[in-house]
Amino acid sequence: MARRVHIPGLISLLEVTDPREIRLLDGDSRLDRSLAPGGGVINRLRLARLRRAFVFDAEPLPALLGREAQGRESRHAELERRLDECAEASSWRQDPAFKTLVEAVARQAEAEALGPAAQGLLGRRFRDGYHADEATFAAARRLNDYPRVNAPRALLQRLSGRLRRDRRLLHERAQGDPMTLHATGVAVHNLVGALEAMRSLAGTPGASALPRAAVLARCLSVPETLLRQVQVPLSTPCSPRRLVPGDLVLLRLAEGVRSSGDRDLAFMADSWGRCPAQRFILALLTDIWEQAVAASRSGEGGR
Amino acid sequence: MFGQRGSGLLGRVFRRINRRRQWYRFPFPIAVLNLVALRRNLRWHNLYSTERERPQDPEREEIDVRQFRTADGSYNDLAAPAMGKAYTRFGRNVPPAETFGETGDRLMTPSPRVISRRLMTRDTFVPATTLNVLVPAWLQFMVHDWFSHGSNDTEAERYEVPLDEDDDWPWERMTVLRSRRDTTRSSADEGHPATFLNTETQWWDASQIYGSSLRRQRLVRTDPDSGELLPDGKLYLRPDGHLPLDEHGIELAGANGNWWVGLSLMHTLFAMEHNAIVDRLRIEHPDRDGEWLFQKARLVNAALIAKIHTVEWTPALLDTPELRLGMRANWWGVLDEHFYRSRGRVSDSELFSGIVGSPVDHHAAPYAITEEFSAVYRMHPLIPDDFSFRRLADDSLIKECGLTEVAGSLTQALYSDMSLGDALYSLGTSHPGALVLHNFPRHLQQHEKQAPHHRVIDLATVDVLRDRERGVPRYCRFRRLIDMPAPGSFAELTDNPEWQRQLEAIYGDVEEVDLLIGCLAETPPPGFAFSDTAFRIFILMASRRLKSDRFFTDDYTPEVYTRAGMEWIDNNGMKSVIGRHFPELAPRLEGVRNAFFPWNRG
Repeated sequence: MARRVHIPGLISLLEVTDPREIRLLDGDSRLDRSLAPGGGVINRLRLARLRRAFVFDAEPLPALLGREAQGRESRHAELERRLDECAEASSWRQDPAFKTLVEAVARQAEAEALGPAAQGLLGRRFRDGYHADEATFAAARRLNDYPRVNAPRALLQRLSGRLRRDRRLLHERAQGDPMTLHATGVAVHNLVGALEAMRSLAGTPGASALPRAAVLARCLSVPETLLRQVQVPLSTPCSPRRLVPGDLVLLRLAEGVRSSGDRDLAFMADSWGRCPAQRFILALLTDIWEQAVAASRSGEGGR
Repeated sequence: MFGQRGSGLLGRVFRRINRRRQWYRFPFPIAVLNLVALRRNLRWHNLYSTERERPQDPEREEIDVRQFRTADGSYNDLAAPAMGKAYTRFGRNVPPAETFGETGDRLMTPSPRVISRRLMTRDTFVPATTLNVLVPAWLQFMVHDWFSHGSNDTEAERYEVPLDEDDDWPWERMTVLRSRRDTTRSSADEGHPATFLNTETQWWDASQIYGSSLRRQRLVRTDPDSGELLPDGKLYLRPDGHLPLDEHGIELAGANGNWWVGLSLMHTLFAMEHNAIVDRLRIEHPDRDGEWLFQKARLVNAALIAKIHTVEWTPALLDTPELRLGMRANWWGVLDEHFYRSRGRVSDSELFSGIVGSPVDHHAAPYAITEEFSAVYRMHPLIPDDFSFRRLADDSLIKECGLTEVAGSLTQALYSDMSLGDALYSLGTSHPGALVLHNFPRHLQQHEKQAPHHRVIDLATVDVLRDRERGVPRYCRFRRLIDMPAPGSFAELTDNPEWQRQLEAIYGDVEEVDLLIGCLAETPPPGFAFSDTAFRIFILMASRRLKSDRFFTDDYTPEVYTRAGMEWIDNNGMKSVIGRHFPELAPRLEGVRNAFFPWNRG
């Protein structure tokens, strides 16, 4: 269901949760990812926060690049190919963090271990020597939350230099590579969300008997929202009034996926901005779950 | 596309408050506000569609869909003509990801038959002393209007239910047919949980009387002797006032499965009511033909039934000041009946002037009856095992018999010993069972399905198994998904120490308790005949059946119903319907506040 918030000069926002409407608007070329200032004051403030958090070396992270951005498509295809290869070879099995993730999901290790382990595992898909620890994961969490925290807190993060230090730490560990930065600073939180849900599910009776599709459907964690900016005036059945350049469109992806159980929507599979890690994430989660179930069984057997 | 609002400030505030304190623990005005907030939250967070692609628009029947209900329920929503039609999918009240059916060992753990025997078997009949047996009769009458999963799959491999060594099941094995799978699934459904088709129209359109297909509708309107459609718009009743019989010797109706005397009486009563409405409309519209009179009478009859359910049946089971107000407000608004009848609607607000006549709204998902609704409507303990039929004239005993002797094709034989009035009087003065553990009718634990099926089943076992098979979450999970706190132990689930021990012995972990068992074990709010858990789904779906239906909202007008039809709905209720067709019963209802409370004996 769409919700329109419009106060002239202040805010102009359309929120969409219906999966069909999300797909419709995502496919409309008159909307794009853009961090350029525009619209009312709140629209501008919102975009400014995104720029402060996710623009490195004057370049937005890959998931914020516009559909026509130079080289976006080829880099996207290359990344997808690489991750698909990782999935095919289950390359994570050689990674030391994999065992930690399995143990944490099987409730044989602390939940706190999930974040750094997942961050390290993802980082090493891009940079062989990537090192993650509690500090890098905490930095990634603060960075990811920055666009959504309340204004005083955001200001405090800026004035205290916390935001700058977090960005620098993540940038250094990723050696400046935007894809590594995106994976270890932003995408990692969806992976950790899914693993936390799996850990919680593993603690319920009968969880091991659940079919794989049910586990993935219950545990998959997707970005709360996707942001689009109106580039060209447009009328759409999703909005009660005409949208004009600078208006923001918030695609409430998590709610849309929750209401429909649509896994393709979770990865925006048919979209120009589809997640290149769909196969990788699904294979990784499946592997971790299966190993965790096996570990739980052997743990029970040993008692 | 389906509304533009969320649960609002009130919904959010009470959501937080209810984590610590439930609605019925507040004083009256706050409790009422809390109920409004609960319904709002449920409307926006607990309605899910299972249709992945828009169903094809059905072919139009040869009637004016603006003016009349179609036989198969199509074209109620003119923008989505298949919505609510017969043979469309059940929806859900919990996110689709939570609805994968249980399989393998999990499906039979613990064994549904063990649960049936050890937790549900009726040792001594526990009566619900504030109610009469018309309550279960009405309930089943309504359920047959709203939904059916149709016949089960006889081709697929049957479930084999594990039996205890000391089980008295007369056969060596207990097998149960699988639910019939959805034949409309496509590649878009791959990877998604199983879906099931509702074989009845999903609307509150009295399809249990009129059928869910044009063929069935014509059958109930046809004189079996001549084979001709009745030209006057009436339903066929035999000269002695009884329904005609079908080829299996069971009374003919729009839906006549699981037939027993309670259903027989409800169907006969409202077939008579249909014919009375036709007579009334003909006075106002002498120039109209039988088809027009039939269709208008159907609209009026269906609305009257919905009204009785809303303002009489439900408050009888939920007999608290908040719910009496709440259910009346669903129909007339908080300004209530007298204001409505003198001034009409004051606004579009469903709060002030009722849902009926307010603008249609499907809220978060297209309209459909949900699997979870069908799960919480499993209320078989209401049915007694033993019946005592007495004469209306002097309360003398006519006959005592068991449930089997008043069910299926045997129902008809009852009427050779007594009149319809005697039978109604007998049910009106008897108590149904209470909705608690250890009160499942013994007859239904070894029940031979009526023709043409003739299989013997343990319905209690089947009730538990079906929820698991259809992916209805277990009790604790279900409560969390509808924003209710879940019990952390058996002691938190029920205050009956004996039940706590029995439940723990079978389930081991409170998280494992099945929804049905949890609902029967739970201590309900004061004045409630059923659990608060089931009530949450009721409060949502009872409103939705009205709010989504064009004929109860946008088109609830004199132009569609006729002036005389609207007056008929306004002026009638269960007592007047009974009094019209059985005037000799009127003294038995004198001074009885609600026709579903026990009637006067004597």
